This record gives sequence, C-alpha cells and structure tokens, in this order.
Amino acid sequence: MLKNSFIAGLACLVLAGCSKEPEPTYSDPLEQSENDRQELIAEHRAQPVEIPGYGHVYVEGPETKRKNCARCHKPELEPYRAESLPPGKDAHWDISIHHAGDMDCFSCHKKEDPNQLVSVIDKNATLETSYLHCGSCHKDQFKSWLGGAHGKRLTGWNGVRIIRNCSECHNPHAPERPKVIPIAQPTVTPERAKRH
Amino acid sequence: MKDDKGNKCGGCSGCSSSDSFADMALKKKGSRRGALAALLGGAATAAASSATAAIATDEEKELKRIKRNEFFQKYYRVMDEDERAVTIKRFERKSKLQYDVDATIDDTSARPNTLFGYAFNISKCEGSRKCIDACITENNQDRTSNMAYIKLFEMEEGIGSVHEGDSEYSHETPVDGKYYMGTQCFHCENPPCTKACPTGATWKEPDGIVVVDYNWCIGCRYCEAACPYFARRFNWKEPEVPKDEINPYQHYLGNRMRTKGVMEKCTFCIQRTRKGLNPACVEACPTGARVFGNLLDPDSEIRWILANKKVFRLKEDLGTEPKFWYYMD
Amino acid sequence: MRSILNFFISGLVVVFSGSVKYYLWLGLLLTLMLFGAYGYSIQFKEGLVATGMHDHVSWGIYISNFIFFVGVAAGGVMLVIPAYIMKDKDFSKVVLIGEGLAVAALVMALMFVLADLGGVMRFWHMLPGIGYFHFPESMLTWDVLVLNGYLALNLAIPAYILYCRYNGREPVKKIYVPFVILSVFWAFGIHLVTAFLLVSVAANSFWSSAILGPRFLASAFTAGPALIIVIFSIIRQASAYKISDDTINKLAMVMMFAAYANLVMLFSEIFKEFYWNSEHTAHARYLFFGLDGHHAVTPFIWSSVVSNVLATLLISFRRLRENHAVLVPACLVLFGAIWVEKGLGLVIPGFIPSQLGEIVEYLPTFVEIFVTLGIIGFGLFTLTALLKVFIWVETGAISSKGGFAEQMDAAIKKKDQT
Repeated sequence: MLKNSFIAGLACLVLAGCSKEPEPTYSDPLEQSENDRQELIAEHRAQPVEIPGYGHVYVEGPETKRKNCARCHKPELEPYRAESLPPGKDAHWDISIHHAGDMDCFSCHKKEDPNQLVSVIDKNATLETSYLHCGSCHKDQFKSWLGGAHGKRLTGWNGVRIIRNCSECHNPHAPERPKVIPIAQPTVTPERAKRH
Repeated sequence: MKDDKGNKCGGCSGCSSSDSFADMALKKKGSRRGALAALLGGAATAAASSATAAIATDEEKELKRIKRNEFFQKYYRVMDEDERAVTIKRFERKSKLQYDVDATIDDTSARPNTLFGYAFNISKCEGSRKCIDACITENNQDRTSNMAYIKLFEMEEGIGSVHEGDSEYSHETPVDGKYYMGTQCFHCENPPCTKACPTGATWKEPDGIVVVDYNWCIGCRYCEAACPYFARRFNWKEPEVPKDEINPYQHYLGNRMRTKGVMEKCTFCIQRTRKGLNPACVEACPTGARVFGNLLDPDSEIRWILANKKVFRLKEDLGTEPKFWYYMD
Repeated sequence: MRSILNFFISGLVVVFSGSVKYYLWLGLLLTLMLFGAYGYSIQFKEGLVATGMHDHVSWGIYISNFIFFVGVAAGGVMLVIPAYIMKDKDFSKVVLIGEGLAVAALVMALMFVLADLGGVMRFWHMLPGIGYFHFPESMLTWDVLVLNGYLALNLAIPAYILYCRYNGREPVKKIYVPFVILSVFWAFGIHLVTAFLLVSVAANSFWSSAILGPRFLASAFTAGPALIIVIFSIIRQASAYKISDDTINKLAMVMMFAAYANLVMLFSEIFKEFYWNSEHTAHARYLFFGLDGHHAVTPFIWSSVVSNVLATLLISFRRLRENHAVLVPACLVLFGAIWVEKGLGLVIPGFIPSQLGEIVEYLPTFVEIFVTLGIIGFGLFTLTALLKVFIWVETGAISSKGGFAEQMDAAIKKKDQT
C-alpha cells in the first residue's frame, strides 16, 4: 500500500516536473519596401547585372573618378600625349601588370577607347560591366560570383541583392590579393581572464 | 513577479514606476550625469550638491528596485506580450542608470518561413580576424577578458582536422600552404546544448537561432560541456564595456548587456538578422568568405552554395546537423 | 510533536557533547567551514573568475568532487545487497551507517553543485512549478530528482528508526523495509544517472563511454566500504559501540571484489584509449602522459593508479586483509586513489584538449580549494553528528530500551525469507 502510493506520488512529481515546451512566437514576414530598395540601389550606384536571368541582381557601381578614362583619352588630346609623360616612360608607367603572365594593357583595354574592354566572348564589356570581361576567362569564379559563393554581398540577407564587382576586391592589374596583418587574437588565456 | 505583469494588475506602485520610466528619465535629464557619477564613483562626486545627492539616492534606489524585479522576472518564453514589454522597458532603463546609454532593446521574434544558415569559404578566408573584431564590438562582449565567439584556425594544407589548427597565429596572412577555418556557434538543428540545459534557459528559435535567456540561466555550464564545437562562453566575471563602445541597438535574446555568472554565445547577430541585415562577421569580412542567408528561400546564395559546391560540416558524425557549412572554390 | 522536538533537542545536545578530543575535531571542522565561507564570499562577489576555471576547462574540482561524493553516497547503501546475500546479522549496522554516510556525502555533493553555479541565487528557476524544469531531456534534472529523492529517503529511514528507538518503540518493519529496498535501487540510480551526466555528452570521447556507468558503480563499491571500514575503526576506538571483526572482514571482502572489478574496467578503458592513437584518445593521452608539454595531472593519475593497484594487492591476501593495522591504511589509500581517479582524472581531462583541440590547462585557485575544504568540513560535520546520534541511541545512552540492531536484523531476515 505505502509503497504503491509512494510510487504513485513519485510518478505525479515526475509528470508535474515535466515542463511543457512553450509555444514559439512569430513576427510578421520581413519585406523590403520599394523605397528602401531604391535607396540601397542609389547608395551603391548599383546597376542590374547584364546577364539574362540575373536582372534582379545588382552590381555596385564604380566610383566616379575611375569612370572617366575619356577625360584624357580624347582624340584632340592625342598630339600632346607623348609630352605629358615623364622621359623614358610609357603611358600608365606606374601600373605594373601581374596578371596571367604576359598580358599587357591592350590584352584588356581597347586602344581606341580604354573604357571599353576587349573580351574573348563579350565584346561590349565596359569598366562598369567588367565582370563580363573577367568572366570570359575566369568562368568558374564568374559562375560562383553570380550564384553567391564568390564575392561579397553588400546588402543584408533579405531584400535586394547588391554585390561587389570583381575589380573592387581584385586589382585587375595584379589580381592576387595582398597579404594582411591580422588583428591580434583576443585569446582568453587563464591569466588574462583572471583578476586584473 | 507582479511588476512584470505591468498594466494588467495596475494600481500598485511597482507598475506605475515601471510605466513611467521614460517620464522619469526626461524629468531628471539635467542632473542625470552627476547622479550617475555619484552612483558609480561615489567619492568622485564629493563636491556634488545636496540636491544631486538626493537624486543620486533616488536613482540608486531605482536601480536596486530594477535589479530586484529582474531577479524575480519570469522565463522569457512564457511571458506574454505585456510582460515582455515591461521587462524590456526595465532593461532599457537599467542601461540608462547603469551605463548611461540610451539602449533600445528589441524583441522581434522569428520571421515566418525563415531558417538561417551560414556558409564559410575556406579557400577565401585570409585570416585577418576582422570578423572577430566586428563580433566583439557588435555584441557588447566583455573587453577585459576579450571573450570572442569566433575562432579562426590556421590550418596546414592537407590536414582537415581543426584539432591540428592554430588559432594563436600572429604573422602576416594568408601564409602559403595554409588555409583558414572559422568556427563559432553553428546553430545546430539538434543542439546538444539546449538539450542539456536544466532550466530551458537556452533553446532553438523557430528560425534556427540558438539563444540564451540571460536572466534565466543559472550558470551550471552543462551546455558548455555539451557543445561539441566550443561555441559557448561564460561570464566568469562582471562584463565590462567602455561606455562609448556600447552598441545601443540591442535585442533581448542577443547583444543586450549581460551580467556575471551567465552563459552567452553567438546569436547570428539576432538583432541584425531578424531585421534583414547580415551578421556583423559577414559584413566585416573583407573577402566575402562568409555567406549568410535563408535556407528556406530557394533563390538564396546559401542554397546556391549547397546545390553547387562541395560542402562539409564539422563533426557531422555526431548528428548535430549544424547549419554552418564549409565550402571551397 | 513534542516528542519529535525532544528528539531533535537531545540529538543536538548529543552532537555538541563529548571529550576534549571530540571538541578539537569539531573545532577543526569549524575552521574548515570558516575557510570555506571566506572563499565562497570572494567567489560570490567576484564571480567564478575567482576560481581556476575558464571557457576551455569549464568544470573543475567542484564538479569532480560532486561526482566522487555521489559515488560515496551510493557506495554505503549498496552494501545492503551483500548483506542479504551473506545473511550477516551485523550488516544492519553497516546499512544504517551507510545511510548516514550517504546523507553526509549527498550534502557535500549538492553543496559542490551549488558552489559551481554562476547564478546560485537563480537556482529556483529549476524548481518545478515556479520555474521551468527541463525534464526529461536534461540529465541534470534527472540528477536533481534522484539526488534529492535519495537524500530524503536516507534522511527519513534512519530518522524514523532512531526516533522509534528513542521513544522505546519498535520501528514497524512494514513501514521502513520497503524504503530500505527502494533506497538500495535508488543508490544504483544516483550513481548511474550521475555517470550519464557525463556519458550523455556525446561529443566528448573521454566521457561518452558505455563502461563509465559500471566503472562508477565499481569504484563506488570500493570507495564507500573503504570509508565505512575507516569509520568503523574510528568508532571502535572512540566509543563503546561494538562492531565485530567479522563485519569489517566481510566488508573488506566486498571491497576487494569491487576493487578488482574497478581495476578490470579501468584497464579495459586504458586499452581502448591506447591501442590506437586517434584524435578521440587525446584526453587519455593528456591524462596519462601529457600532451604537447602540458602534464599537470600526470603525476596525480599515476600515483592514483599505482596506489590503487598496490592497495588492491594488499587486501587480496586474507591475512593482510584481516590485519586491521594493514586494512585501515589500505582503505585510506584506496579511498584517496579513487578520489583522484574519479575527481581529478575524470572531469578535468575531459576538457583537455578542448572540443576544438586546444590545450589550456587548469589549476584550482586558493578560493576553490578553500571552498572545497569548507564543504568537506561541513560534510564531515554532518557525518559526525549523524553517527554520534546514531551511536548514542544505539547504545541506549539517550533511550531506555536496547536491542535496536537485533530488530533491524530481524527485519532484514524476515524480508529475506518471504
């Protein structure tokens, strides 16, 4: 009798102790307003990717100073070009190319209009759409970049997708990224965690 | 407990005080700074006038009352909306009194049809530790112990076990022949930590984020022992963050100020991600090696990676189903 | 009601009366407790940073001692089973003393857990009803259930028996014998559940071993009787209470077999850990040989294993085992060896290397050591008080009628026949 009631009591205790999992709560679905979307696009000077089927993806635009190759590369300035260079130097002498071995300026830039890029496949790539040009050789990276495995998304995970152009992370003349000095490791060693 | 019920019970002094936190803050704005200094420094404000001193004791009393109410507050998951609102108001006021920071504490709950996932490109990470830095700043972690949720391991090429990695490197990176692998909370689908917790103070939210109710945790550290990925961090001491470094945009289950003796962890920056932003580590990454997104969205980048890249997870044999994948170019 | 009060008052009087030696002993325990209180006051103020623990080794000597003392608590009561099998009359004494020991050890174990909590004031969050009791998922909630249940059981049984005896009544067998049986099974329960606390950490290859539970039982069967033998020899010297040589010898034999089982399982584990050097055996390598130049616990574990083997060898010989000048020191050595093996050698190496393979060592601070000593002091005080009341009631010093032990025997015999 006593044993039974003890066991019954124990069972009650265990059942009572079994706390029920609370119901989760939800907020409203997250939706980006058209206004926010346009603001982000403007902020990043973004343009839709010029690839069929990828119109919803935007690429960050270059900063204005780099757009203006035409500022110097005008037919009427051609006669003065040689004079403007330091003695014994070629145009853009300060740029050294470390890209795929034996490339020179005109492997990529059109002689007549340096803003235009010479590309194996797509002849219409400009500096703004340089990803098309890069992608004509670096096919795997290009595919990953479009998909989202390569490159950097500038906007949050939700809403409009604005990504960096290739040349924002890789100097096209020397695409290998330079070495960095890392920030010091915030190690929690016992000594540091102890009283200070 | 009663105070938590807020406008429901009405009438008692505790409620009215918690309802008028904002008013009080406004009224006392002028003398607030001196009062707070008195509260914190004591001797430093010996010159303070008797009027300020009187207010200082008022605020002191208020802080004490807040701490008392905090002690008796309910488990976050069983609070109703009103109780949550009162609790949040209390913590915002506490932040003001204790740190002189106007924090907004958000309690946005999970978004429907959202399950967060994370991918890490081991061929892209340069080991710059910018993610770690951003994480510490974003999440108001204790600066004296330099608690960090993220660890970056420098790994020898050809060796895949993180056990052989070195997280203490201090040279120029990336080193040829090495690659870098980051770890943090992987927000497992079957988290061993939440199962271990005796009070249910840590749980998995519907959007997959494993969170801690810092006021419900009793500090037994069973979850820390149960976690296979060394993702949990304990406040061995009262955390200290310089006032001007406190991030005022806080979430109740995220980066609000913690106290000593409680567990904390990476929350995928819940205060950011529930608003549609990326976690601070993803944003800070200079290489784009970190990708964050919604696993339930078939057009998301993370889904593209899972479909098109070869991926792996750490210690998959344990069946924890981490929502954190490593991939390579 | 009044008589219960009287019982407690006379119990208290008994606890605080004795010889000069006894007062010196109480003074020593009080000093330990004061040290503990001082240490805990620092820890309470500063947080667990005052201990040697950190994120890599997040459990230290508190949890180690907790696990060990749960074993001690189980060990004494589990002896009821051999008492049945051997049909030994005197074993009832063992049972009551084992229950007293269980209470003291449990008090220590629970205090160690409380000392380990970061937010000890918030422990009410775990209480069913006002808190959220994460049962049955969390093994810790199981442990809370079984330990408190066991404590209640082991307080209630001796209290009932002694109270009856104090009033000159016979304890009703029907009432307490079922609880004694229950408490025996419960003893297995507490130790297995405590082992499962570690075994359930699937990610930890050092703990997540099926043999850990049985190993816990075997070491409990060794450490519990070892301590009881030491206590018996102290009681025999310090009081008029009679404990026969035969009882001690039988206890020693039980202990011997348990020690064999313990060693067999220890060596099975060692074989598994060392035949093939996988990543999963790094903890054992750290424990026994050190890793990457870190070997803080190596000397302890080797002295534990060596003294364990030596003491077991000593008590294997009947003539040595029955010579109490050899047996008592051997028991002390065995107890100490298991303390080191279960405490230091089980919990701490489980964290070294950490889950991601980092090696950060752990050394307890003075605060931790003080608190540990304080808790042990309190536990010993509890044990002393319980034994003292037990012996005084038993020897009739605070009661009129005698023959309690015989009743207990009769009860056990009766149960055995039915």
